[in-house]
Amino acid sequence: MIDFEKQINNARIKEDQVVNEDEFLYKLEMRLRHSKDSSRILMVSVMMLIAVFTLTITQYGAPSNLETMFAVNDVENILETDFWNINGDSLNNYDSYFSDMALFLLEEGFVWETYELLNEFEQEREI
Amino acid sequence: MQNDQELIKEYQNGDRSAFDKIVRKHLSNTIGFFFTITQDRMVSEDLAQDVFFKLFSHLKNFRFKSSFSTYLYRINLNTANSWFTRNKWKSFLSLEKADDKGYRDASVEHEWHRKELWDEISKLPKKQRSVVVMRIAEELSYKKISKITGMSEGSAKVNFHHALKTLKQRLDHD
Repeated sequence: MIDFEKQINNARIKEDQVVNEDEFLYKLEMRLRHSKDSSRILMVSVMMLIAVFTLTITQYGAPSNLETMFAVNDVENILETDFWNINGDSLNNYDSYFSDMALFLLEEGFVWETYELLNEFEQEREI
Repeated sequence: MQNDQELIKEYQNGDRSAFDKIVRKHLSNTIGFFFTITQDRMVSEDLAQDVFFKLFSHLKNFRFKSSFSTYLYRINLNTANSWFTRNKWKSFLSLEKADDKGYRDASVEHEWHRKELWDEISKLPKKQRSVVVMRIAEELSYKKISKITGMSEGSAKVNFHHALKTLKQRLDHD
């Protein structure tokens, strides 16, 4: 067994390794940089995936098409807005408008103007 | 010249050039270690790159509980074991191709024996292989091997003895 161990030891290559240290260090540096870049890209990708996943999860239960998204259940609120009165018959509001206006003019002391307003109101009605 | 401990501390304090000094200091030995195993200059350099690449990230957490040489040997050994595992089939195939004993001169015969030997070493169980590698490639004492591998000195001796027995049987048989 001892002879065999000697044989094995003789089979070992005994050579002094001449190494270009600068080249070796340059290659190592490149490898380290490449590894750093790869891990950075991986991290950004994972963060983006998490962001997309979170946004997707939070959208569950939301209306899926535009019609549903913009549909409003409370119709009455809409009808009361000016937008819905643009094409409506505004004569229905004339009575209250003229009476409020006449009262305001009287309070301000414009008697003649109040008379003119009421006159105008009468003419409108006749039309 | 600064010793390993000082260089490591400098590196841990953020001095990148200290790492380069460590690499320059241990490069020749590391490549020599792998060259003994692989008999291939390019592969040895690649494996040495692997070692220092691992060292770059792990050295920041080195706590000086063991000596740096033991730590570096451990990384070398792990890298060698990984290479053995990767290379098992490759070396087997290259041996099959060269199986023509009639036309070999003395140097080729010597080369053949080395290849055959390391091919058989690569087939040993991991513990036995680790002891044999450190004993043959680095001529380390059992005490040092026990520190590197984490096994007791007695266990290292027994593993080496079993490994030699197995190698002798296999090589004689061939």
